[in-house]
Amino acid sequence: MNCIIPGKNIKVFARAIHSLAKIGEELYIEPLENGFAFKTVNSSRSAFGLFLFDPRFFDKYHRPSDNETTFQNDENESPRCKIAMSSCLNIFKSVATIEKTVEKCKISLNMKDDRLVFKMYCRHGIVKTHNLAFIECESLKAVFNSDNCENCLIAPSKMLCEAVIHFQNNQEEVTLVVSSEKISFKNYFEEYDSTKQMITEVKLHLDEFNACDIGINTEITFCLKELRAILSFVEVTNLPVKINFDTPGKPMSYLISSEGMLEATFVLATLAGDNCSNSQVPPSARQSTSQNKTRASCSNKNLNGDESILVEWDDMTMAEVEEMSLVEACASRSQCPAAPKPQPVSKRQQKTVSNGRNQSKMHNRLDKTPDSDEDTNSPVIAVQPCINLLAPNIDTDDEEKQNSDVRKEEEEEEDDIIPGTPPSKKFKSLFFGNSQASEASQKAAPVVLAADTDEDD
Amino acid sequence: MRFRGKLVDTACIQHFSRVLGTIAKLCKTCVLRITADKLYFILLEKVVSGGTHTWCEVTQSHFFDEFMLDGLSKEDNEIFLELVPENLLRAMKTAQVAKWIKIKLTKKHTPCLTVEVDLPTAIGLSRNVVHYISVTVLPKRLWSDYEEPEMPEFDVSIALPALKLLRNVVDKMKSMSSYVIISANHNGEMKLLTETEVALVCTYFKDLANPTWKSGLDAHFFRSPHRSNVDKREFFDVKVDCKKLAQFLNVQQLCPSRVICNLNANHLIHVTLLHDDFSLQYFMPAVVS
Repeated sequence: MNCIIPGKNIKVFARAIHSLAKIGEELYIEPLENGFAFKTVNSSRSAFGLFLFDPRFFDKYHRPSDNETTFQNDENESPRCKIAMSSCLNIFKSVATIEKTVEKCKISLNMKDDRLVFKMYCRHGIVKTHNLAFIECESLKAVFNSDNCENCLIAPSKMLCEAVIHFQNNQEEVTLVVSSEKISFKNYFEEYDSTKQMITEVKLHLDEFNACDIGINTEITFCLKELRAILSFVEVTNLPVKINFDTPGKPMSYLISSEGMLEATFVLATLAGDNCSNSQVPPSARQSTSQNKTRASCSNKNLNGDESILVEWDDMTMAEVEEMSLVEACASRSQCPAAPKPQPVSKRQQKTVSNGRNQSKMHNRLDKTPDSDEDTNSPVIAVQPCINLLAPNIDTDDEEKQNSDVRKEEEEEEDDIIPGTPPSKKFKSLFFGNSQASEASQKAAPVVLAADTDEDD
Repeated sequence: MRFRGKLVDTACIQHFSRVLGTIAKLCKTCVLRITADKLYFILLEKVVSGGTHTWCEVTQSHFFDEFMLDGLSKEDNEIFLELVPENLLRAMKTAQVAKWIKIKLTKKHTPCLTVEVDLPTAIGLSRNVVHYISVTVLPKRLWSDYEEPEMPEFDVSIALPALKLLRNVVDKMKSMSSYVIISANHNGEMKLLTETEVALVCTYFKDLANPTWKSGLDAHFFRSPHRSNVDKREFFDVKVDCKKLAQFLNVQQLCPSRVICNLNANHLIHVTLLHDDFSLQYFMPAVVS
């Protein structure tokens, strides 16, 4: 795999990474025939984001052909891997200046050391190389068909941005109300406290939209945070957003496309059913509502839940616990990644072994790095004094960050393995499962976070 | 009970937002008293949390293009509402470029102050944003709690220097100690003093004016019975909470035309801000030490 992003496109790319970083903590990378895909999913699996960059977006786009078996994949597919979002975000940290400083960016795979390499060719001949450890993984997909949606809106990005600023920063969810007469955004409260909160409604003219195709009048509630993430991207690129949605509980999708450049898809879960709000009031309050109603809403909710989106892993990867860490070529690091946790015996065993080997390789390399110039993949070392001069803090900062990243990840992993941990938000509509159910049962309670569907029982 | 007001002019909208911003900084909840020609924001802090008292008067006709009020009754043509000024401020904040803003008293599930904002759009259509801020309508028996405070007795009255300057000084003192002593005399001098175990910091201001109140009032308000005998240079001290004072000095964003501070030695300070279209009175009790 080898591709080069030209300087004029680097800003768009950086924006895309920033946008994805607002949703998920891991970045899934997959070079495909029709473009380079960058995906993420949030921790509660209620939001999915995908950027597909067209081969024409790049100066050069080369993905491994079938005979280059990069991974021990059954079907010799292109490499798929995931990296820590924070480490990738570090590379594209300064969106404002990146266009001016970076002339091109090369993304490649270093098979020898099992690293994903981001090489930034900057002005004045400075080359920054970021070697990122990755975890190979299976393809991440959101099972969602926007063609079946009853409602479709095409909105100018500016209008959406202006609509959203009326909500408070701490506002978590908003409701989109559509009918053939009006379209409006309202803020949504799980528990409304009239003394603290105020209700805000932004009414939009139908003519403000580029297109409105409303099949059914509906009110759908979704997370504002993810919408803001999407808008942070379209705000600068000024591309119209196509919103597909159906009834409450069914996912909604946002499509952004720029001909011959990129296509972005975001899938967001929506709260199931209006009645569902009943089941969200605290138990004490719920007792006052009629029992029938509650039951009806629950069954309704379950129904909705079962048929909604499903982010699927072709093969489960949750059990595969590995350390990821950003490794700067110039950073001399003594800290070791945690030992891999015991893995369930499966056909993935083989991979585990190879991963184990990768790790030890990494150690060796790390030990060597500071004084070995033979490493062709770390040109930064060659000019280290110069780098230090230019960015005196880069080493220590990154190292600290790495440490904290690793620590954070360890914590997260611990969190992850508590079975049945409910997602942070009660998006009950979502059901994420494993496409290979039999395999799912083998894995030690994979944290497919669907357990909360029956939370109210 | 009905109330409706409409703000049209951008300058008015911004100025009204600034007044609200000041009020919101001073307290969490306040009482809005609406009368036919004035709006009053009244803050009565509990004694345990500082015991400050703010009375802000806004002349309705300077801000509102349309103003309609049906009060409790013909005799008492007023409305008292308890609300969170922060909410109203938030609603106004995103409406700085609005074509108009309507503020209405409405009844949803609870009594609400509805803020309707009409924003211009790129293609000439109007975009409507509505905020519902729930309020509590105060019954008449509670109105007496929110009557205009009486002018307190004082020992010395002094026109304060530029509030921005004062705020900078107090902000620095805030980090040293939690109390500051304000002193002033009849010779146009004022000082701010704070001390810690190791340091004593005092800032002197001079050539300030000592406003003269109407002669009749003078006699009434001045505590010192024989003014002629009083040494003009004698300072009267009030020790106050530094944080509260710094918080209050945020009112400098309102650019008042005149700020007068009355000191009642060891008892309270009373600051009056005057502006063309509003006035604000602030009472802060002294800290007993």
